[in-house]
Order: sequence, then structure tokens, then C-alpha cells
Amino acid sequence: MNYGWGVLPLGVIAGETFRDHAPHVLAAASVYGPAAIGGTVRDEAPVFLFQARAPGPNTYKEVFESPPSFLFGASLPGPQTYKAVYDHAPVVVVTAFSTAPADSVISLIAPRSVFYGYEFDGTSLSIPIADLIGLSVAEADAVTGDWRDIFKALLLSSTEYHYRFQWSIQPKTYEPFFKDLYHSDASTSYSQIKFVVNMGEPNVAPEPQDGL
Amino acid sequence: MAFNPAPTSIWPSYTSDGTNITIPIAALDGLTAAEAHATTGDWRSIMLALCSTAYRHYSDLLAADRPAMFSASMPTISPVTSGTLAGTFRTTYAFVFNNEYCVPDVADEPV
Repeated sequence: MNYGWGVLPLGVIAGETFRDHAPHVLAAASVYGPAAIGGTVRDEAPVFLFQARAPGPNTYKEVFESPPSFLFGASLPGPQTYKAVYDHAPVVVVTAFSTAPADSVISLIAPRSVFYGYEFDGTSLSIPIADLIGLSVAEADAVTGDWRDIFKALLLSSTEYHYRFQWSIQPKTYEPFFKDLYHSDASTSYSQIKFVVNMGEPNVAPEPQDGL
Repeated sequence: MAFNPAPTSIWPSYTSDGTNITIPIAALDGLTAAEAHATTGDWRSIMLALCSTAYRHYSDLLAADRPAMFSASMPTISPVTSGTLAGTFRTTYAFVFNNEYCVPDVADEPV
């Protein structure tokens, strides 16, 4: 089976591994230009992350057989390649295909690229507990659980996702930081996230009342 | 009163079936359906909504009801005046979690 431009089925991403669909060839274009990458996906490669970003016609990637998952990226036009293997990337993430319908690819900022089993029904978002680092079923319970544990797991998972990428392709509008500081009998987790946001037209504040 | 850690205290109508957690977007500050879409949405917006909601919830609690093992600082907002992001604003949230210490085990010797 040959997956060419823009024909990566979304079903591959939705809770399944690429192995289930046994694709053999991928070709993707960077959102930044006409660069093309193509990789051979072996049966043993269940999942991988596939990323190209630079303009230029000569970049290529090959997905190797043994590692269970991949982060695969090219940073420069020409033959230079960069690849890194990650242990837990159970999903395929592909940057925009040049001719793909919008719903046939998943972007790096799509919620499902962070939380692989993420679902949204128009009213509520749903995330598998298994996608949240360190969260237990007991901690997630609506009545007896603890929202601090859930929130911490969400912060940690999104931070971990962010730092899988080379700095050059990390979102510049989201800077997460998460650090555990260990003491003799406890630890402290410190999380700081910087968002870059657009603001609406600022309104002039109301004048103070007389006598205030 | 005392601190209520139940997830429904911060996200009304939150549920968990033991496999997934489910949060209505109505419980998340400012999050739209478009932003929450699984494949065309934006996880950064989800995280911003989660952080905003967490801070608001924490700051709204009376002092006696606040947790001792979690704290949220008032977000800071500063304009970005140069570079490609000029004209935008940087909002920074900070949270501190105090954890139980997990005693590490010495790893098995390599075979």
C-alpha cells in the first residue's frame, strides 16, 4: 500500500498504530515549503512521529525497523537529516500534506497530537487516563479523586510533548517548564507556563468616582 | 470548610469512567469548541484554559479552603515588543505542587 501525498487516513491516528494499517511509504510536505520527505515504514514500526519543516526538495527520512516509535525530523534543506528516537510516541503525527484535505492530517498543535486518545464531542473533551503521565484511576475519580493530580498530569504531559521537538520547531507561543525538586522526605513540583496571547482592543478604564 | 480536592469542585460535570477523564468545555475558561476539536483544534488553548481555570478556582477559594499542597500564583502579563511576536502579550502561569516522596529502589544490576 502506498500512501502518497495527503492520503494518510485519519483512522491511523485514532487510537491505532500504524502497524495496523501496514502502510509502506509516506511522503509529506512541510508547511513551510515544498520540501518532500519520504520514509519506509516497516511492519515492526508501530508508531512514529514524522516531521519535516524546511524548504528544499532533497530531504528524506527512513523509518527504521526496531524502535517502537520515532520522532523523525529534517531541519535543513538538502541531504542533512536529523532523527531522534523516543520511547513513547504511540501515534503518528504528520505535518501538513501539501494537497491534503484538512481533516486527513493532524497538525502538531492538534489536541490529539499531545493526548493520543483525545476526543471531543462538541460539548466535552475526553482524554484517556493512560495518556496522562502519572495519573491513576483513583486520582481521576470524579468524587474521591483529586483535581490537583489531574491538573499536574495535564501539565506534565503537555510539557513532555513540547520538549520532544527540536527547539527550532517547538511552538514559540507556549513555553512550559516543569521541574521536580526532591527533599529528604518529599518533593515539590514547580510548573510554569508562558503563553503568548493576542489581546482584544484594550478598553480605557473607567474614571474613578469622586471621593474614591 | 476545608479544601475539597474532588475534580467536580473545579470542573463541574467532570466525569471519569476509569479509562477516560471527561471535562465539559463550559467548565474551562474561554475554551471554544473550535479550539477543543481533536484534529483541528489547539492544545495550547486547552492548556491556557486549564491554567486560567485552575488559577481562578484557587484564587476564589477562601483562605481556609485553599490547599496547602498546591498553590497558584497570579498570572503575569507583559507585552512583547520585538521580534516576530511583537504586538502580542506573554501571560505566565506558575503552579507549585508538594508531593509525597517516592522512595527509589536501587536498580537491578545489568545482566
